[in-house]
Amino acid sequence: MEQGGSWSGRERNCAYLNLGDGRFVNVSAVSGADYIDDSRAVVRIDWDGDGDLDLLLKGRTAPRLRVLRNEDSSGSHFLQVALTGSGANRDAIGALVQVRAGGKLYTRRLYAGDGFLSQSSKVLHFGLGKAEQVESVSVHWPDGTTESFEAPGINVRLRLVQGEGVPEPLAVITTPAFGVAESKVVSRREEPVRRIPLVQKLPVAALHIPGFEDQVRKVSDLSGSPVLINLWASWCQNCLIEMGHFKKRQAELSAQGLQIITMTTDEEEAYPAAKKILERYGLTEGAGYVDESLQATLDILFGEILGKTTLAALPASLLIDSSGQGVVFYNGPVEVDTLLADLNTLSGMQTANPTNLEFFGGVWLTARKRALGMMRRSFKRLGLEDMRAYYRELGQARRKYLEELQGGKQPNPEGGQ
Amino acid sequence: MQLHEIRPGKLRAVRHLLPWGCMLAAPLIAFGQDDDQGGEGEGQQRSGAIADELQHVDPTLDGWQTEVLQGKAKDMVYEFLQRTYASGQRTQEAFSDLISEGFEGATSLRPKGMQPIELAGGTLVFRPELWDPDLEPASSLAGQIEDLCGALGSAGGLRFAVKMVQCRELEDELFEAEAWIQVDGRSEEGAVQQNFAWHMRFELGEEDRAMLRSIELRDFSEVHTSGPYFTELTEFVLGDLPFFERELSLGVDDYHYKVDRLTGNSFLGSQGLALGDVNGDGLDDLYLSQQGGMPNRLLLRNADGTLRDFTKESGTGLLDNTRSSLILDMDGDGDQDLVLAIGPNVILLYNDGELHFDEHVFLGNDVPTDIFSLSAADPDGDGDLDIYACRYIDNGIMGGNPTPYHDANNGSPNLYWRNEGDRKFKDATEEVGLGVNNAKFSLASIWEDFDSDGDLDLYVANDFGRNTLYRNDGERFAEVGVSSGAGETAASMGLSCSDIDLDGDMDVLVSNMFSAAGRRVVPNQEKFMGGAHPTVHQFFERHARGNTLLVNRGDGSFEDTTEVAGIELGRWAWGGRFVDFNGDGYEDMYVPNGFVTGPDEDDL
Repeated sequence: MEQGGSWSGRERNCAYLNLGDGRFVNVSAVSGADYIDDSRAVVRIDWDGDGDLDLLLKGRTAPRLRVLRNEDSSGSHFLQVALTGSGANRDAIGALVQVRAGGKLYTRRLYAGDGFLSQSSKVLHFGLGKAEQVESVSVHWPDGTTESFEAPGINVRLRLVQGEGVPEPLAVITTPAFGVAESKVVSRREEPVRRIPLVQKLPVAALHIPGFEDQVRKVSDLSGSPVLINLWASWCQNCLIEMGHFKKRQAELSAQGLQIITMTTDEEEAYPAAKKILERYGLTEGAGYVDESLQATLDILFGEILGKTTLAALPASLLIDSSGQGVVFYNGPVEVDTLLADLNTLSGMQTANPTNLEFFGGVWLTARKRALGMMRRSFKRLGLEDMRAYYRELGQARRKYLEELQGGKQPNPEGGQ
Repeated sequence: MQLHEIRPGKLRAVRHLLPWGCMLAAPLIAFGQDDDQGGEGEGQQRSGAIADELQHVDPTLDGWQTEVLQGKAKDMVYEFLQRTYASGQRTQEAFSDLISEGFEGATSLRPKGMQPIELAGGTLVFRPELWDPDLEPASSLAGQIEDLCGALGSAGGLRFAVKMVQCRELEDELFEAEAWIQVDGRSEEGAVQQNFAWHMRFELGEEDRAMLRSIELRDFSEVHTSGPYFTELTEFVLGDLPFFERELSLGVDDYHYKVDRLTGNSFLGSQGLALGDVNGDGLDDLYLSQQGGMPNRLLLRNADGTLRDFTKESGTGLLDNTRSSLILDMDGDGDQDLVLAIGPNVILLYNDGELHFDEHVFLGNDVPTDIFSLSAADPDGDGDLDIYACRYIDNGIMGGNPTPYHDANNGSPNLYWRNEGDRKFKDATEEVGLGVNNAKFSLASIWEDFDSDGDLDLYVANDFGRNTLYRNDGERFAEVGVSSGAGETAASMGLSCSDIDLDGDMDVLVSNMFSAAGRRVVPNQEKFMGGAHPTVHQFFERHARGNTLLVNRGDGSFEDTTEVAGIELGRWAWGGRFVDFNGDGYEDMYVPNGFVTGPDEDDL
């Protein structure tokens, strides 16, 4: 499976019809819903208000959400019931509703959370088959009392309010557009461009990035404007294509103040050839090379972003803000439009803030913390002294920051790990 | 996109650097990650415990001879089905090269004299209980096949699905195997599906091909419908949402490779959904739980059946990996609040009455393991809703792999949060007796009054331990899973309850793992845990059997009617549910399936 295989994958969803005598029959293939998704959860609801149960299906594979319309044409009768309880449990969760119709007793309970990870509609649905009228409706409320309601008509939607005894009509769903034909979604995979906005910025100011001209240079020496560290190799076609795009739209990128620093991963004997390529694309300024120490450092930094199993690719680029902190990692070629959009976002951001929320559009409720200590230990193990010292300072600063937070404002509650 | 080979030289030393293009089929799973936030325990478990026992890359190398034989049998069955159904030429000659010269015969393949059961909407079901078990001579095989295949009439677009569930070596060059087979097709009149089980004997013929010696029918059903029960409306309902393409129409792994590991992103797609009328307009809205880094979504229903985004306005677009959500009025103030499972925390988001959910209440826990399903009810009858949270693996020092695998009790404890009023909750798990047998790798729970005594009992689906049933005795709960007949040992993932036989009490559908490999390997292979006690084998066999139907006897004890009902083949089931497809009042079932589908075609 770790090599891209499956484990009990490509399994079709199953459907069984109740024969009414204790037996069921497998109708998966003719159900119209035997999707081959890795499905997880399904919920019931009469989405189109036509008196039968439609389904919403959540899964792991694309598309993650499906809406399935029930096409039942049996003309079965129905009753739909919403509940209002008295007291704090106004939703009347746990109430049991029993409907007698056509000489049969139908029993349903209102749950909050069942199946797997899911909650269905709180409107209870009673299929009544060919029954012409409802004979009785009773509710066993969560407080233990039982209440009979006036028998309603058939094929209606009602609200039963505890203590009222008389059903109220429930809003009728009008669905003018529901004559639409089936509208499947085409399963698709997104283009394999891996733009990875960082949840928390990745400090790299002390990163040693040897240049052809300036061999002791660090990222902090470039600060003051955003920097794109671009890893490439002379034998990597996609790297050259990407450089072509940078050249073509260099004016737009420069207007955003971006410095592109290319770092070749070629062997030393290929440096002359690499420099020629850079001249062709106008990218010689600030260009440099990846030495062993930088390789080891990048290995740790990229591992912090990608985890243990996702691999980095060439070309790979890290967008760094003007204070020397990584904000977006591009694992593969980056489109110039994407880069411009990210630069635009970056220009509106506060550089001091370690979070990087502007790239997400939402909020975190639980704390996300860079593994500064773990990285520091890795740097130490590999003898990367500058980075070790830098990360020790960062760790101390973060501790102080958190202490101040706890002394004053309410800190973010800690996350799981 | 052009691909590149990896060049020699220093790139080799850089673990994370590979040329672009190699990644198109990149390694996918973050299994075994111990330092990633929100790494999914279930995956680690399966990849560890089951893989060690069941997954073998090349069965011949480690002596799993029957795994090789079942592969040959499966190939032969597919070939046989292709020829007999598709060709229309069902003479003996059409398949004579698949039949051994020593062919002993076949039972009737479609039992004779079946009376159809008519269901709502004109659906016809043929489901015999008895048929002649005797083998008929080889000369009648063509006729039997004509009976079987001819029942599909003019249906086209035939599909075949074959699961090998048993395989055993007999004497020299002979073996037997059982296959569950599904055939379906469509015609102008509607659709037809046949389900049958064949118990077959084979001999190895030329080039070690499996040749049929006999076929015995072990199960049969056939359904004719006027059309599909469901069609898809996904694009109509969701297609206009601005993030449809970049979020909703994508799979979980499409996103997984594009995120910082700090998102706590989870690979297995265990994020659910909840329905509820959040804005009080009489129409149910939708809250989608999402993987880490992708905002949860609050989607309001429009009158025309489409959805509109209300995430930002409501402040509910949380980026934390959210497994489960509930839409409920938790404080009795008349509006709908949200209850979320994020990491080990239950987080309540209270609605201010104007659809702002800015007030958060955290119910935290010292054991930092993630919550899966949530459920809420009022089991103590004090008028407000309490919360039950299922938890899975314990990553702590004392935790780890489920031990013993088939009835583990070393997972992370589930939590019962009792509502104390005024938006305050107390962990009352131990106090009320729910701490018993409470570490069984739980994935789902349901509150139901199984013994019809007027209060709500709790049934919990456990992946690696027996399922637990907590009977509500008023002040406290008593764990009666085994004695009630609900102590299911299968790997359970989901629960649904309803009254399937219209007798007024509530029955249970348990969604379990079904593994054809497990069914084959466990009972028949000496090598599978050779030396283990026979009861352990039975546990394992049950562990992979599939879904379970528990019919309530009315007093809270259960009869397992799974085999009579014929619903085992739920595949790798998750949150199966009772759903009345055809409005006849008898609950049908829909079972979502599948564990992890990778880009390659191979699977167990």
